[in-house]
Amino acid sequence: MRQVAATTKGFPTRTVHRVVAHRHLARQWEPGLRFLVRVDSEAELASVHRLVTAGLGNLAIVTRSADVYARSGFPSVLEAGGALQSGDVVAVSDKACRAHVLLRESDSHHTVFLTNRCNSKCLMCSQPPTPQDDSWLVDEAFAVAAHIESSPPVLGFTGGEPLLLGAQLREILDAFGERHPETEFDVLTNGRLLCNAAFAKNLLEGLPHRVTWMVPLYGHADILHDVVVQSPGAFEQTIDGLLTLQSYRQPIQLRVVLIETVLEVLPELCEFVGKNLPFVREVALMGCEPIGFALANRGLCEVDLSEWARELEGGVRWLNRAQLRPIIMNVPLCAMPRDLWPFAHQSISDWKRAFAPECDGCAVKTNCCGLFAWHEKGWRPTTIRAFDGGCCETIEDLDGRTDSWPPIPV
Amino acid sequence: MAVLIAGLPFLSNRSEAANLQQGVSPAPAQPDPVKLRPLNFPGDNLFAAHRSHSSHSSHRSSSGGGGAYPQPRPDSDRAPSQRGPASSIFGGQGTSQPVDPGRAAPVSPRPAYPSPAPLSTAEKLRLQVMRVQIALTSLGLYTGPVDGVLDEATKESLKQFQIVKGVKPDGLMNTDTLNALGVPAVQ
Repeated sequence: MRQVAATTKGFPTRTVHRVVAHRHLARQWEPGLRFLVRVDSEAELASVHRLVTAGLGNLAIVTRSADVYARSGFPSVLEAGGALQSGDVVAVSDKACRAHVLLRESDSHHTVFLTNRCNSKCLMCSQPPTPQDDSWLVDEAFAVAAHIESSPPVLGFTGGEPLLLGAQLREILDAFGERHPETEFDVLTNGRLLCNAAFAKNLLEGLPHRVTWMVPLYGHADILHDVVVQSPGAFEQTIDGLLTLQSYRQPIQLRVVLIETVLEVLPELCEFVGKNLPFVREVALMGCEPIGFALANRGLCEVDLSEWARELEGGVRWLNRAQLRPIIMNVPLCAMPRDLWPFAHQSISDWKRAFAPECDGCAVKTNCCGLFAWHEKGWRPTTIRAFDGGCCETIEDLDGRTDSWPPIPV
Repeated sequence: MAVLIAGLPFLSNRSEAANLQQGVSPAPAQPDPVKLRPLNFPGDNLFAAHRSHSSHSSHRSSSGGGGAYPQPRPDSDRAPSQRGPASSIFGGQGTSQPVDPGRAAPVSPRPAYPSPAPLSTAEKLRLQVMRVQIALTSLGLYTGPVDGVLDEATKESLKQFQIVKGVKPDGLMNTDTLNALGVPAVQ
């Protein structure tokens, strides 16, 4: 979650706001929302003060001027460091010396964090779960739905395990769906609770097809998958959940995180998917994020992906044979064989993406997903090297080959 | 024909659009220089009296593209609200207080966010008046309460604004005035 260092006053509880330019307040104002009005001058401060006096109780200000902040008599945010942008959906609390940017229009990836609880404990979890009741995040999600000004094309829900919200997950999907009718939604879930038919019915019946369910699968047998997610019985439940999703005709993206335990069986896993789960829309092969439990289980999670090219190619070949779309995520182009470039996606969110010094001058840098910003604390997915523009095909040249690659021996 | 109708919102001349819809072939139009779309077209403004329209051709049939009045959504679009009681394995049911000290402050009880369900006409009028009052207050032309009531003080401020902008000073929230204020009509 993106954070902006700030000094605040007048926010005794954590509340969600929309940042708005002073001149746009009249066109955006709605009762029931909270606004952080950008104020940069005494005149604008006086104008907001008049509006508050005139009865608008849902206004606060954000400013860069310490003077304006000191003179303001109502809830105020003084930016120190980064800046908030118009349209940002921000959570502010006096107890945190920062403002959390929950959603920013100019980002290319938007996610809403629903819970930090989880019923699995994956070896490489990037967001280690906590057991506490954090259902205040549910309230905040409803607030976010209301405060987004322009609907993003795609919005993801993540956790933790969103299915732990029970019936409230459906309420959240409905709230977002009604307010943002053009938006498509992704839900990151292990799918385990969908093995409960009554629960699945409540969640999925009548749900429009605008939700894609992103479900991880780490093996083609329980002994493989259950070890990675550290939960006995998880494989059976997840498979049951996938079949349930299919019975409700919901789009599914499978997600396979490329740690050693998984890479060892990747071709077999992809064969299993192609033969038994042919209804999934696509299969994402994802580089491991060097953070969270992955740091604790470094021996199993740290891999140099360039040493696993055969397994990657084998997996992609099985997926292609089953006419399933592979998507390679979080893997820089220099870590995979060039044949796989057409499947590579720039998947790392704006605020956590970084490049290494070696990337300067790389001919395909603009096509590359880069590295997780915290790779310094962990590891790199491979030895990073730059490509010389003269020696290689550009990724656009390769794009047309997606359908025909790889040649499949009959 | 479907293509023609889909293209209608891009026609700058509305009566021409109306002719098209009635099947009258227009004179071959000269390519127009790009015109900026005004913030509000006359048909967008639910609360403009008829006197603000130059002709009734601006009352478009909503069968074409970009109808002024949103189509009411059939109730069957709504997700069915069959929600059984959640089992206790699903944990809390919202409105908890954060218990993790690393997690910032307590939250207030869930506020009632306005439903995206269509507002009633009275609610739309109130919201539109409030936005106009906000704009007038920001300009320093209005000092009364922002209460959504189009009272004499608000009308007087509107007249002042209209005089400044060279719009007919009638104290009404007509489309030209809303456009000059930069306030979109509440739809």
